[in-house]
Amino acid sequence: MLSRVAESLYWLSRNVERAETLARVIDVAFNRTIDRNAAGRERAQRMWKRVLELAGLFDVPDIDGPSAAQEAFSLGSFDADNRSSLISCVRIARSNALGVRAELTTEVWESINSMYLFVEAQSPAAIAREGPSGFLRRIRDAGVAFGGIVDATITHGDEWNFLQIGRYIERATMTVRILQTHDVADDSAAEWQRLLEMCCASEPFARAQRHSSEPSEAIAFLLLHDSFPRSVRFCVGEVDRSLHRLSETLPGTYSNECERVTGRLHAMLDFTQLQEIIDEGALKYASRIADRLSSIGAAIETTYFPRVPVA
Amino acid sequence: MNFTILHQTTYRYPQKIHESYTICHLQPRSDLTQYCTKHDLAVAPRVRIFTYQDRFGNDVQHFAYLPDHDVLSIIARSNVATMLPSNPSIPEPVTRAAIAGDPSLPLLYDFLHESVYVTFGPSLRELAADLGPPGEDLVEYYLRVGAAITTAFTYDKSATTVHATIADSIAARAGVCQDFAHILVGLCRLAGIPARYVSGYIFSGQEGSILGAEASHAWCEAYLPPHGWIGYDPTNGKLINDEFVKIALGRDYRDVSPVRGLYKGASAATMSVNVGMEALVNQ
Amino acid sequence: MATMQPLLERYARVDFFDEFADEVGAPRAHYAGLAQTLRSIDWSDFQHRVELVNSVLLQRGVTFTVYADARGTERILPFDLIPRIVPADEWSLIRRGIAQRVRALNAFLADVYHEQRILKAGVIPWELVFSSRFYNREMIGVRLHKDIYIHISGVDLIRGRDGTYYVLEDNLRTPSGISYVLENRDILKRSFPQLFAHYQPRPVDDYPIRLRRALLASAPPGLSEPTIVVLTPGIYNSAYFEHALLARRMGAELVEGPDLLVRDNVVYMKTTKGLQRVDVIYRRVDDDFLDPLYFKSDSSLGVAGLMDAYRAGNVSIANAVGTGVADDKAVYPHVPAMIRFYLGEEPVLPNVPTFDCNDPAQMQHVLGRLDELVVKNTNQSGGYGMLMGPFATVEERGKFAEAIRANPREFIAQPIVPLSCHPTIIGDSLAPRHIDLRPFVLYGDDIDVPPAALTRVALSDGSLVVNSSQGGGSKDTWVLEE
Repeated sequence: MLSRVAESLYWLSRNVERAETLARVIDVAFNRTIDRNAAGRERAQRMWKRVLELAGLFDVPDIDGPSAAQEAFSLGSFDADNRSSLISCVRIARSNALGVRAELTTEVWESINSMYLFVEAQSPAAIAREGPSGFLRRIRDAGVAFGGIVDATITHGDEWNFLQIGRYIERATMTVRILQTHDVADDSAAEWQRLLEMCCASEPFARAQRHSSEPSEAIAFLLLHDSFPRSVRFCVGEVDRSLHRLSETLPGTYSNECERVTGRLHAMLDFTQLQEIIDEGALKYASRIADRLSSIGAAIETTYFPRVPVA
Repeated sequence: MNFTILHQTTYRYPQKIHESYTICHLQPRSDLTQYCTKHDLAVAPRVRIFTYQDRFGNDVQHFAYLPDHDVLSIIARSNVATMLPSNPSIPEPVTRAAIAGDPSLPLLYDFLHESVYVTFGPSLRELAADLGPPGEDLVEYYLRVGAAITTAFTYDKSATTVHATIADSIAARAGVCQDFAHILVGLCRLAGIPARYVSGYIFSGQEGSILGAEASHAWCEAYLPPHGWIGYDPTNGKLINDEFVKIALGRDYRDVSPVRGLYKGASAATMSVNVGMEALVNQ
Repeated sequence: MATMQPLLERYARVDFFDEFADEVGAPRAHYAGLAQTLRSIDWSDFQHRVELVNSVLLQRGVTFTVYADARGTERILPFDLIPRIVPADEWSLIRRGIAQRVRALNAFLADVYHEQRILKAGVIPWELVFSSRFYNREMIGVRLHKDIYIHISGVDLIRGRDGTYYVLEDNLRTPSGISYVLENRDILKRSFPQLFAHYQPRPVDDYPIRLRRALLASAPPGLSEPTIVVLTPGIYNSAYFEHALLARRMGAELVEGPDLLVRDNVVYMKTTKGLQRVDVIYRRVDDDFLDPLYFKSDSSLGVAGLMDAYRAGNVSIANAVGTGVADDKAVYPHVPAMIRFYLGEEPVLPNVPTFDCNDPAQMQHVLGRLDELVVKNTNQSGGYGMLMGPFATVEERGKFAEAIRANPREFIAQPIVPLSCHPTIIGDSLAPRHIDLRPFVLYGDDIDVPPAALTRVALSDGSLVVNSSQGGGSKDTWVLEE
């Protein structure tokens, strides 16, 4: 398929996934700041700062006061100049979709277009009045629906594989980055609960860990679980599977640089034990994973849509 | 006379570019007035060079280099034997009727009308009016206005750029050979004389002289039947003789640019050109 | 329960040729079945279907974009549900006439870019060709496969007061409109199957296959499975929907300029598995923007070096570069002469009588009658558009007169042709509105005229302007079997 088309499908998928995740993260953050006391407010500020970093906003002045959460929400959602804000992600996704309209099914196009039309029609002021939860929930649902419609209506060929790669790379990256927002000064159960909720993992985790609630177990769940669909290991596995479907080769081998770095990270996650992560330090380990994911992203670009075409 | 010519063009880019496409008009023509006995084009980085003949009969070379690069070097080497006399006599008079009755006139449409660089603006028309209209003899007019450009205009490299219009040059009464050639072509066309632009080289030294850092040259050719195309150099004020080597001809500079092209990448090129022409002793 | 019967009865003919009703107001033979069907249809049901159809059109994106501002507005081309019917004998005449015309125009193109016999014979003035903005110098001497230049043409036809078909205009560069033909038929079948009672119009949906056949025939010789691409300017082009639709139905890749590159005089497209060779380009990008190395250098819509690959015979371009000289409005009056010169035949379909302002006597005639004539710009520089003499102000006529005197080559004039009319739903009644007809001609191994024509209708009362951007609409066109 055309490199340009593959590139558009990849970024379309990544941006929808990012929008969905951001919506969830902001919703959880918002919920957790509503009922905080004075001590909690300081913690909440630090948390918002890190959340906004997720949404691509750095060097944000201290957000304080009751309207703090509101402001943070607006910045993370509606700042059109910030390419990582919620609204930017949705716009970029839709613009990519427009460019490959011919390759998408009508159902998929309409799914993205309605998400876009919904976001464009919102007034930040109205949301501020009513509370953002309803709006954010709609975005989350639209993101999830998009994934479902893609899986159910697009033939699972090359186009579908690029959409998968985009979705799972973004999901793995966001899971790690959410982990990296962990406040080292706070080892409370509440803090770990927040991380799990932001990764949409709190209920699956509770089910998997009927008895214990050790923080380290949460790390293992989010990074190493083999069948939780948002764990980094699972996501990298899906990327690996899609790459091999594209090249029609067997997993466990590699036919290009992209397959090599992906396969290596997948193997690493397959065979790492929790104790190794604890020994290295969770955040250090997460940082290493983030680097590896970043190089997979770069390898995808140079392999499938290189700037300079390979002769 | 026999010449050996070196024409070196180098492009340097501060940041790497890719997908560059280049077209060259560097191969001297072979016709009744000169014969190109050898032509060699060397390009670095190594490329596959293609060649075709355009509708003016010019031999055009083109090539592309797709991967990242920051230097493009093009070296053309040619040997040419020129056959015009060293002191050509002034052609017999030519009237309007001769041109009007010439059977190839309809095919010369492009040489009678405006082109990219030769536009019939107010400044060209004013200049034509200042120089006085042609009389019966168009040869007389051609040589007269050609010489007038030589005396009235100053050769000044800083006066105009490669992409200047003739209006700029006329206003400044200054320019380089490219501008003077365009102006003479324009004046001829306004007077109903088919005229074309020639790029080439002029020999400035004696036999056995050292290769110098010169540049390529440009002049005009006018169609004056029954003499055919007569060349005149308005920069030096003389009829074309055996010291001139033609490379290519066309409507104007755009049709004969020695090297032109396109590439992908943000950085702007710095170009250096080196031309050397040596007369060969007795071949 | 109100039916359409009263609407049909109230249908008032006007003083033009009416496709549906004859001089005494009775439906023509080939419309009798439709009239019968319409009489029995409930009016509110009909209206309801009209609304349904419009929402389907919007949903599918059968739109064109009008750029009044930077973002542009997407509009659907209004679709009138009453079909236009062409009986077999009329279609036979049309088919013969436009096939003949395209054959002659193609011969003209091959001739002006090579031997130039028609110019040397003095049948067409040299200057006319050389002064045409679309006579592309880079094409002089370039040999094309089978000497075919116009693989796809759209010939616009109108009918005069006595029902004679005239050719109004040839479209030989990037003719469009087929997507409306395909969508209109599909939508009408789905939303209004009863209309088709008594009729079996020839199918139109094989057009993309026929187009593909013609494009494959144009491919450079020796290739067993030529690769075809559709080159589009991109999503902001007003006809993008059509580019995407044709690419999809032909199974061809839809590409934009940056997706292609030329290497060693061969065209390739950039795919995820590396460079893949391209053999045929169905281009919907204008000549000027096709190759920044030879034409407009700031164009990002084309491919650098495409002309080199083309000249070397390694890629086929449909339609060829430089076809605009043959649909130049100033060349139009000479087409009958071309038919005689190249084919030795008399034209089957006449031109609309035309005054060539380049001829001094004709120019005087035109200047004296600006209030009666339509004056058209021959596309040299754009900007002046068209003057509809009887509807223009004195000022506007004055401006045109000045322009004509200054640049006679840029103008032709024609009497206002009384276009034929057809019943059209206007509000809650049926009224006659002017229409035209655009059949398409494909030229592959031989000339193919699919029974897929676009009927455009001027929706404003009395308007003779059928253009989409100026308030036109379209109708499904039924070509009947023998």
